[in-house]
Amino acid sequence: MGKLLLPALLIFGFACGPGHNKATYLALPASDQAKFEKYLILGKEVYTRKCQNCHQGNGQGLRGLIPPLAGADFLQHNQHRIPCLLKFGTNDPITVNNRVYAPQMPHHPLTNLELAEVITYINNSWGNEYGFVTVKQVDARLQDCSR
Amino acid sequence: MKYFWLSLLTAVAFAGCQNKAERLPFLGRHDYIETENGTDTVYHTIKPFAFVDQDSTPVTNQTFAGKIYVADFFFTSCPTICPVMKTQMLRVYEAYADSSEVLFLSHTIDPEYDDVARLHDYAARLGVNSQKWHFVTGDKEKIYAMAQTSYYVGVRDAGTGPEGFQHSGAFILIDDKGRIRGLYNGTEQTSVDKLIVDIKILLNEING
Repeated sequence: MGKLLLPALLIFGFACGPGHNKATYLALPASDQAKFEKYLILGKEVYTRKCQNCHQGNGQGLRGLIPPLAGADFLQHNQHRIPCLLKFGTNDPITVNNRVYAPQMPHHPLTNLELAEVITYINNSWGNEYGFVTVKQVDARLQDCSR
Repeated sequence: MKYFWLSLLTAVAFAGCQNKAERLPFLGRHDYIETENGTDTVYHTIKPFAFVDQDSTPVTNQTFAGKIYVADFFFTSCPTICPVMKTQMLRVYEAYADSSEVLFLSHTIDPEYDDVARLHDYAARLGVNSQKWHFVTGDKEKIYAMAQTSYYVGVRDAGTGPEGFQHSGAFILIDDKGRIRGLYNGTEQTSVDKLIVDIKILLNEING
């Protein structure tokens, strides 16, 4: 038991301590590392308030009704579209991991900072490694929304 | 010493009895009728209803005769508490997947939008069996009346798009005779845990 406890604690500490993947963090310039950490914490708060009801606390979605965010190829390949999707919602079908969802993604009147925070949180939770998103990137991507 | 064992045995026997006789309450307003031997209690029961489910199959009180069921109110385009409720209801559904005595009844409170086809798609996406979990639509006034006067849950159409429909997140447990035996918060895991336990208690009561 004693032999198992220490490694278990280490693994647990590692898995739960940083709360994000290390590679993304280390690849950032030192000036952005603190911001990244902050976005993860504030992004989780936005997620809990605005996203969790549908996409669930573990990012798994709800069977065929609501697409998962965890391990979602759509997220990985459509980063440029995500701010628009969150801000304005959509009624278009979305294909995630080869499954077509017909969602009614509601619009969310979030600030650009909140969008950057929550997208950064989603991008780096549940095993996702889709990068850090800045407010500047959100600003730019929102210019390209088709509406 | 002999007495000690005797009393212990008695205590254990009675404890066993009490456990077996654990019963859920009867909710709602009771009536009392006079009989030859005094008075009898008449419990509140679910009033007659007739809706159609995701397969266009008529669903009435008869569908649930001799069964117990869990009822709730929702709508498919609901962006707020419905997905949470459905996640929780799925836990109950999975817990009693193999029991033919436990059924589920979800009423839409937006029947104009949630027609049979929409409910069919919704149930299919949830991956649930339509013989066990009925998603029903029908006359709006009648659905709202059922909610308010039979199941005692609040529903309201405030009339401003999807967010205008308001409903309680309650799950209601109905026994084999159409009586309410429990109300649970369908958005709270601990409350739904209790529902899962209560269904077992109710099944024991019914099956003696």
